[in-house]
Amino acid sequence: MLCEKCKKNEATAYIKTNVNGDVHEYHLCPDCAAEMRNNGEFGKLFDWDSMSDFGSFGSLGSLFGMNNGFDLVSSLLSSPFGSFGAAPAIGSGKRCPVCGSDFNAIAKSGKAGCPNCYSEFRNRLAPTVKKIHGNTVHCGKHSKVTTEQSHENEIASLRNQLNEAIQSENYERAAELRDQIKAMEG
Amino acid sequence: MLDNDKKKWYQTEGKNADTVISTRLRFARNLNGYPFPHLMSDAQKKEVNEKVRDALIGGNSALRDSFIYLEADQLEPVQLAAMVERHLVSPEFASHPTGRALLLMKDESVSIMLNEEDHLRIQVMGSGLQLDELYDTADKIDTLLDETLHFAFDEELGYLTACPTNLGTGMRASVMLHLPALESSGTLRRIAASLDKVGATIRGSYGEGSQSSGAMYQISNQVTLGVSEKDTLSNLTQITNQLIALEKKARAKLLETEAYQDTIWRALGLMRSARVMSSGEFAELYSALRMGVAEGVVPELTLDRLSDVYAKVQPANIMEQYGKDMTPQQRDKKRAEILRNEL
Repeated sequence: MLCEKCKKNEATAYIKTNVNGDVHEYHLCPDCAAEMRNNGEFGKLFDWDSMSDFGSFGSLGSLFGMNNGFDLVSSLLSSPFGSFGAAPAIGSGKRCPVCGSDFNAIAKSGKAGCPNCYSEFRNRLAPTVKKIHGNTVHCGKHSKVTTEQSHENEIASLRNQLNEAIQSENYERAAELRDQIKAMEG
Repeated sequence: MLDNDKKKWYQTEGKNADTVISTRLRFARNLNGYPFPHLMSDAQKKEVNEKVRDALIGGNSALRDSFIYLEADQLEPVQLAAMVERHLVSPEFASHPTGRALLLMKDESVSIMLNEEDHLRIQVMGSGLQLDELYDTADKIDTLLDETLHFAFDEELGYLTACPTNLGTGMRASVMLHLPALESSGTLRRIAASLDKVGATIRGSYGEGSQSSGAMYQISNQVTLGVSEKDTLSNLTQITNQLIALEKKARAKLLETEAYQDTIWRALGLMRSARVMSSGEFAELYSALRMGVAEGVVPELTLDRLSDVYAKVQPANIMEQYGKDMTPQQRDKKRAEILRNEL
């Protein structure tokens, strides 16, 4: 996806703001994100300098679902991962095509966004899984569907949801689903 | 709402009933193509509720007449609280009912929570110790649902769950034990510390973060990935049997003392004559009396009779029966009255 602002570079930063219910989403390249930080509306909303103590967050982070600057800081402080250094720098913002979660959101909540997140962030989640369960793989009951089938099932399920969204004339949701299916068919 | 004439699972006496109150087993399962409940929209929650409902009781499902479907936000808070007391739903489920639903078997031995932490929490309960039997039931329901719903599964990680602590089998098996003698001798604290090493954990009766009351403890498996269901269950059975043996030994010692015999008979005396009784006082007295009945000190009562009385005097169940606007003081009076009549 191209940066919404310069329309030249690849957008690697995703920013969602919710200020008193006024929601905006931005897909930006690192340069435009930095510019926005310095001059744009984010500069007015947040006191970025006061956040420079937060390690890698000193550059624009992935501000998933935050409400305001204060919430952002407090939610980072309560991160189960404890160390902000562990958070990826901005720009590594790979997102799950099914639920839109990035790794930061998963780390922050301690929960995966959807089943597909486990494939999407397999390597980055592996240390956490290992810490909880030890270095091991599943043994025991298997679902009837194999992994490959389950990928196909997932796409099929999204297609069903797409049809339902079109029928109920929820075109915004339909567009989201279309993008998800496209990304998964990759 | 529920079929009140039908005998519920907790009104029957199970195996090892002297020390084991009940056994529960749950599978965490999820559907592909949807976010986990903490990220779902209301519309998506509704879709998942309906999909699971139709898979279990729609069309020509073998189980269509065995379950009822309840939407959580259609239930009164007091009904939800009563369901928590009967372990049909978690405290978490009851405190945020929006978008959540429940598929409940009519004898209340199976409850499937929808959109709690995972899309499905298939929960099976029974009295006494019966891990293998409950596994068979949960396994059959799981397999039946999987045919239509195709649960999210990964060859390496097993069943995919919102929280990585449940990956793998997604199975948590718990045995609710009554351990008054181990508690009073102080041995339990030492045992709790060593359980960790054998992959088990011990908690209060309502699970994570809850306190024990009346010497009721829940022991469950800790690890879900890399251990099969069969090995998990046999490990938990072994640990439970060891705890039962230790508790029985400690009870024999405790009952040799005249003071404890007196505690048991006083508990019965108070329950038969008190005019006001708080739920905290009841839990303590019940613990002593239950042990007395289990060990044959009080031959005139049976354990299933006691379990039935126990369920009847829980706060939300009293309110469900006698009025949802009751104050704690009114409940304490009603509790004492029920106990006088029942015992």
